[in-house]
Amino acid sequence: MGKIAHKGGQTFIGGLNRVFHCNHYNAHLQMSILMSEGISGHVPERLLVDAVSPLIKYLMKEGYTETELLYEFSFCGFGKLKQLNEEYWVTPFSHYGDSTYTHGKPGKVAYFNAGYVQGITQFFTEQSHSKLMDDDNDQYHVNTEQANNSESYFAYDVELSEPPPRFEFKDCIPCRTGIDENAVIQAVSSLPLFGRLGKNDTGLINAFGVVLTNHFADYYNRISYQTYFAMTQAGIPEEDVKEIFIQSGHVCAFNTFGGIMSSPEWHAVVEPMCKGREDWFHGMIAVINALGWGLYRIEKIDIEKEFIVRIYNSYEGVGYRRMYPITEDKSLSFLAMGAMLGLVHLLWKVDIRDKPSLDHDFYVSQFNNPENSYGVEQTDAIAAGDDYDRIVVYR
Amino acid sequence: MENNTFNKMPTALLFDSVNNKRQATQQSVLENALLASKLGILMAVKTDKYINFRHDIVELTGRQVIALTSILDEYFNVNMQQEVRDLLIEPNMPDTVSNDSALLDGLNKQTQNENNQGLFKRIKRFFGRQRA
Repeated sequence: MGKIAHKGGQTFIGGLNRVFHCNHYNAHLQMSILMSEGISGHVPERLLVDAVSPLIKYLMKEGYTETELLYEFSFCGFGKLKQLNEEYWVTPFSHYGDSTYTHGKPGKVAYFNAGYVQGITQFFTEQSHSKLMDDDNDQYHVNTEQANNSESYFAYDVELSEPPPRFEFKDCIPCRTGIDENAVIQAVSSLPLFGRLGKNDTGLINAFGVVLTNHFADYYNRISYQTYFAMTQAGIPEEDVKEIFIQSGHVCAFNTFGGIMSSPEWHAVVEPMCKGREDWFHGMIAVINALGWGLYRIEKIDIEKEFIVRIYNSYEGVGYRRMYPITEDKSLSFLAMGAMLGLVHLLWKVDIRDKPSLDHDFYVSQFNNPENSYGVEQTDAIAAGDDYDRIVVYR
Repeated sequence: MENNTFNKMPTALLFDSVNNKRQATQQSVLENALLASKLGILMAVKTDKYINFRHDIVELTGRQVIALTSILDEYFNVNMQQEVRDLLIEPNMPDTVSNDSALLDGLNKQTQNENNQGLFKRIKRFFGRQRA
């Protein structure tokens, strides 16, 4: 497997940025992408497959062998992938097959796995069997047709920036907190957040009440922005398209952040450093800084008015710039907006410290209730040439 | 139902109805914001016409009603052919109701006061009263 490296808040394996995300985020994001089915010239089912292959090809160019790719599939929490014969591959366990969902009819939803196989074989691949459709397992059929969408979609080189230390940058309103960010990052980094490939292992990462993946940031960016462009060009209002992607981040925050802040690890490591609710906010930001999403820096906490967070080297901003020219649109970091809104909601709309049961019914009942809800906007964007993303959550 | 005439539908009741149906088939309930944005996008993709389901009331042609039913089946896994028809306020009905807010006020009062009544019975009875 490739070398694991960290720079500027991002994590790299084999030279590609990796980010932790849960099954709820993966499910919602994939559902959002699939909603674009029917737009002329845009085939979301293929996008979800074809966006993987160039990344696998990249890793192979970096020297990965097939064995290493299969090991990494499990290490990153995607499950277990095996070749059955010349035509078929199988995933006895798989994140996308077992832990994601759509709100629609059960179907063949493991597009990512098909793309991974397509990347390895370089032949057109699609899912042929699905456990969700009462087949015995999830299988993938490798066609004899050469895959023609494996060329890299990285068009631009982007240098990562050097983020400033906590509270030491212009316009930052210094906060007092007992949170030792380095200690939190070190504690999170020492957790066994990887899948195993042993005989009795699943290759899945079960942690904090969710199922995690250490996913390709570029995959998320590619499928999100290509779909965003397709939807807006088809005449769907920009706000609606953005909202559906921001909701994926919000769901992610509720489940993953909620799970983390309810976990024994949190109670053992972070909570003892917390005096008030603001410390929980600082603590969760420290945890985020271990997820590979970029480096989050709190600019301001005014609980009566607004919460402002800057993100240096945000994986969405940097990823956008690697694929597309600089844009004038400053609100394209959908995950970051949804995640920050969700975090504020977890602490100030509901109070996670009261240990509510974070199930789906609770989510719906809380977020169908407009009382005490916050709004979110992005004012600065790496995608637009700014030094950082800046997210404002406001009352 | 003519294809070129508009039928009104209260979105809150549509969302309640979708969730009742999903619950009845052991599926998770969905929050209204998600339902509204998903339906808006899917209607635009499937019919080339954007409809804002965040509004209290949406206006649908016959063709759009058929598309809505098909979207609910495919993307929300609920067969709601009958329920969608029951939710429609026929084109001639607004003549007896001065505006949408009066319509919604009445509906809200009804739903708050008579929670034990069936959803569709409540709607039908409300409009029956308006006509009288």
